[in-house]
Amino acid sequence: MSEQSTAADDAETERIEAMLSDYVEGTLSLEERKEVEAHLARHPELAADVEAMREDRKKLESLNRTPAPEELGKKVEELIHRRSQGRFFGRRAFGDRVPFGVLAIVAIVMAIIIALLLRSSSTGSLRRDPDDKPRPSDEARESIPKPDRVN
Amino acid sequence: MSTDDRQLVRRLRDRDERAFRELVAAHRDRVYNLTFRMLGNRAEAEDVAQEVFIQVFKTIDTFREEAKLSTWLYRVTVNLTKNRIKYLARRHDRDRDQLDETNEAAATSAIAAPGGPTKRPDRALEGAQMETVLQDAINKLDEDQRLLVVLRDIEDLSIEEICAITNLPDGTVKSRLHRARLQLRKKVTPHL
Repeated sequence: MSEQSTAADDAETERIEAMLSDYVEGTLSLEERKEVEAHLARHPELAADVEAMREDRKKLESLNRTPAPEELGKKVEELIHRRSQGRFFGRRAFGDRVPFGVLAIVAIVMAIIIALLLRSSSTGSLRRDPDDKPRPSDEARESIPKPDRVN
Repeated sequence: MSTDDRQLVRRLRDRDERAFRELVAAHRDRVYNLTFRMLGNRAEAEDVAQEVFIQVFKTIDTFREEAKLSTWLYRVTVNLTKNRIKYLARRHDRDRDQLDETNEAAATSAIAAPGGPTKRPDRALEGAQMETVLQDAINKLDEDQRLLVVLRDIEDLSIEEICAITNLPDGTVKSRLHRARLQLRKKVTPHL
């Protein structure tokens, strides 16, 4: 029984506290405000605190916004660059951004592809030089007169 | 979640570096301000803010798009900041009784800043002192209370967003917020 009443008291306390928070912010309905004001009338010390809380809140709202340091974004990018071992946020310098390893692989692959294309092409085959004249057959070779030897 | 957010998330998942820069530009000040108000130290705040964005870059695939992207981002911020508070407490490496020098320097420069809003020097000094008193009092709250005061009264997030960030029900957030404000009041009073 007493446990039940304690739980009910706690719930009621939380409800009043929540309403006091809204009262300080000025967001209560008229009915709720009357209820809170009746509660404060019974607890004058709390009423003084609540009034002061309103003033504190105004002061807190007027606290200077503290802007982030200028370099924050840059530092974050540098940290990500370092921790990702260069995968992200590479530097703007040309030399640092050119992936020479990738370029070398691409160049090799391209060279292989070009070689294969040339090899399979009828006009640009690597197997036969288009300037090569066909070899004369043995018969044709026989029929060619040999120049006389001059001693 | 808005269409813009959805597109941004998709690009972030593709590890689009430009999308990441957009995210940082849009949220850096708020993330940093939140970490600074929670930690009360600029160097620590900057370090945690950096870790927040790195974590977002790494774990964007785990974002389930049930909440707004900004809510998820602040949840990551809150978690990392709480971890840092625990880490610093373990190492006894923090002096909460003093604001860091740069904060005071910023407050002083705010007084003398040319071209800023015209304030009487005595008022500006008063404002800087009040900021110091408030930040000092915030630093002395326990971390859960500090979080609620910072999210609601400084960052001006809605109760709904705070519920989403903290995974607490509406009534609990408000009730704890009331207790946090009461504690803050007690810590501010001796300095006024």
